[in-house]
Amino acid sequence: MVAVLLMAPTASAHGANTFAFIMRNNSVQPDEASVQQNDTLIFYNVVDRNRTLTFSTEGKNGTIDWECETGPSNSTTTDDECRVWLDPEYYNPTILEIQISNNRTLWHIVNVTILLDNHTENGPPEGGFTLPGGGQEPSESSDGIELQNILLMGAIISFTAAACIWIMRNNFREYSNNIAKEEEEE
Amino acid sequence: MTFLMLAAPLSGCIGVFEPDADESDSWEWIDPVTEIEDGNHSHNDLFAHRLATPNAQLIDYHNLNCDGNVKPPAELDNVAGRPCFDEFKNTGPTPGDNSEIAIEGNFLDDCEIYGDGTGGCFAYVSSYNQFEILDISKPNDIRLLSTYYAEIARMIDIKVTSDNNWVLVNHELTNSELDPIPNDDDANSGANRLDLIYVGDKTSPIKVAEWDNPPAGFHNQDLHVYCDWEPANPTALWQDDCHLFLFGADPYPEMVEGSSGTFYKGTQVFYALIDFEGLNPTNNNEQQNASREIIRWGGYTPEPQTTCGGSIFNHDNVFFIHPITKQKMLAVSYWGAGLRLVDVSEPPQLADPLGISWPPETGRWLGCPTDDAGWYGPDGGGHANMDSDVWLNANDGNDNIHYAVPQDNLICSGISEYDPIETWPEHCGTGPTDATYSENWRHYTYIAPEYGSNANHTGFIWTIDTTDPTKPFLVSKWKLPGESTLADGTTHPHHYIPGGYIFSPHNGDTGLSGHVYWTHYHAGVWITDHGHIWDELVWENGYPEPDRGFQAITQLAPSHTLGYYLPAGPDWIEDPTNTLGYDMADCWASCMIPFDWGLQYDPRGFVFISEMVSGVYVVQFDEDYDSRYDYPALWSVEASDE
Repeated sequence: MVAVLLMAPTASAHGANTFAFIMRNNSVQPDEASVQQNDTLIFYNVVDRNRTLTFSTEGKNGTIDWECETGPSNSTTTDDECRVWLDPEYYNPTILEIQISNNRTLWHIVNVTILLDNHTENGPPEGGFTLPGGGQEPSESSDGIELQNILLMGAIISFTAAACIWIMRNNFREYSNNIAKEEEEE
Repeated sequence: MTFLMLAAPLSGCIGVFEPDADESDSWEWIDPVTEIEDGNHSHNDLFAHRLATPNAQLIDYHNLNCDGNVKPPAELDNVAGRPCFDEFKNTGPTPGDNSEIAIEGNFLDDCEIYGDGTGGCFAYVSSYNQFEILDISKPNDIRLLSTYYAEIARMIDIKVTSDNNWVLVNHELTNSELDPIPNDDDANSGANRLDLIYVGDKTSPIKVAEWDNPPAGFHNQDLHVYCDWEPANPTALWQDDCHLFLFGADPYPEMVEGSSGTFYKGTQVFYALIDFEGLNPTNNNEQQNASREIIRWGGYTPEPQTTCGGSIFNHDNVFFIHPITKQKMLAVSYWGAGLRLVDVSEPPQLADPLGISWPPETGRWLGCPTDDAGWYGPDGGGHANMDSDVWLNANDGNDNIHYAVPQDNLICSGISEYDPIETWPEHCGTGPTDATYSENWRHYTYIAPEYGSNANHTGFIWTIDTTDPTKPFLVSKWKLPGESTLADGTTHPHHYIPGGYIFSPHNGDTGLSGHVYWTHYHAGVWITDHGHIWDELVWENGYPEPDRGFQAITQLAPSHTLGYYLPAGPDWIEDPTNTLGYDMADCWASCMIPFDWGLQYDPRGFVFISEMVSGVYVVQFDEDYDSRYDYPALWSVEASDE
């Protein structure tokens, strides 16, 4: 049982959360696709010449200008690939118009629809895993650590405040009891 | 009870060939699939799902209760199994969370126990935290022999060697994005192991070896013992004449393991230097440890240029021996990259851990052209003339190839070499080697997708002619019959999957003469007949042209629907949910019955079904009955009612 629940009108991901495009002599397969945020697009160049891919899109933190050049087909390296991770931190649901050029001449356009990723992940594999693009996701992401730090600090502050209040109240109660006892003794 | 059984077909979701009140021999087809839950239908209504076509008979059932206990004593956890007792069969509680089922034995000898003590037939069921071993020698009286439990989940696939001595189970990490638990947030997310269990004593399985495969383990695995392969430089003195190879489907392929700078492929082959004798539990640890080495020996992933894009992902590897070429092969399901036939006949003398040259691909099938010319080029016969956009469109029932199962043998007009020769049609000649008629003996491989949800379709079961494994071509396709009703009340030409995988195809198996059996989760188990495909293809020039493949076919042959069976507890227990303690609240994937994960076909004519919540069902379709193996059901509703 494998898949992320997804419905899409055109060619769609899932499985490995990567979606491949094959750049042949005269065509790109497929020439349009729907994927989700957090997916990785991989463009395989299977001909004997370089190709350049570019797109520009409005991301969450401003304009994203992306460019990648693939080498000629070579199964022993990844130089004939371009990968882009649609990091939901940066990419909005939108349509990417990816331009592919041969010798600086526009050769083909691939339209990729990025759908909102509303899938809730329960947790990464133990030890983390390598994210598309080569980055290593730690077991705990930096964002997570920051968030956890904030929460931890909040918890400590809350605990300290509660402890102080409890101590103060106890002291006050003890002080009051002492006064009461002194008054009774008097 | 009887009333409930008769009323069930009328209650909504489940359909059958409904008995006609006037003519007992005719049945009205009622669609068994209802997508929308409303006042007329609940997916959780067990009795509304207790239905089948009239040709399907429940022969036996076991809820897999071992000894009344959910777990073993702590000292056995993840170490050894425990024996089970017949008196607990079909009593509460029911452990549930069942997944794959494997069967092995000398079926065509009717599971006879030979003089040397070998023989017999057994079923193995993986069940998340445990697996079970059943004696299925008598299909109408199956017995649970033992249960092996491991608190660390999750075992979702199980395979066994042909000698019934060694079981291979996975412990796959779950709750990852790749393979989430649809209906659960269980913190027990499993491990990343393959475990080898010695099951020579079926009442006391014992773990003898484990291997880690970070980060997630394997999603599925298969294995084969090579007794005709000889390493030039034996790496271990204890190696005898036979060698064990494992074929793992890695859910996190090269993109993950590339973090180490090593790009392993999706299909991973391991040479297990297992000294089976050395692993004998009676040996000491030192002796056993010396027998546990496993070496990465090969790897395969489709080359990008052999795909038309999409998600290239290895879900499953099924080992088989091609009946014509005698190649040892894997039928590999690669999601958007379709079916891959990979030749594992001759392991190399030197390990090829990165899969640079071994194992090679023999053939493939996708709906789209995947080459500039030749069999897979635009004019070739090895695809279905689909644009890549079409092939990768799950909404049309395409893409997402999840499981592939090849036939073990050739078929001709609905017969096989296992049928008496006097029953063979004239155009089948004297068999597959007949000088005139050999072409009519065909080999097929069946492939199907899986969808978590699909607003338009439940997916096709594709029949691929793999008689020549270098030139596979499409000959038939089949989907769940019937239309659906959408939320707005309009009809829709296909059934669809609102979510939770509910009616998706899952795993299948083949019969001897062209019958195919497939689980469809909540839609139950379906039997289709593919035996006459070669007779019913419409060829462009009026005669078969397999060398032109799909391009020579003007009309695909039909895959005939023979029936279905929806497991829903034993008929002879009035309230199985409560009586047997079905866990309807804390299920792994679904708390619906049926939710059928896997099945296996016993060549004596029985289907063993693993239903995820309730257990194992033995079903016989009338078309499979063989008088040599007469095992009628021993239960009767009337008797229990009385």
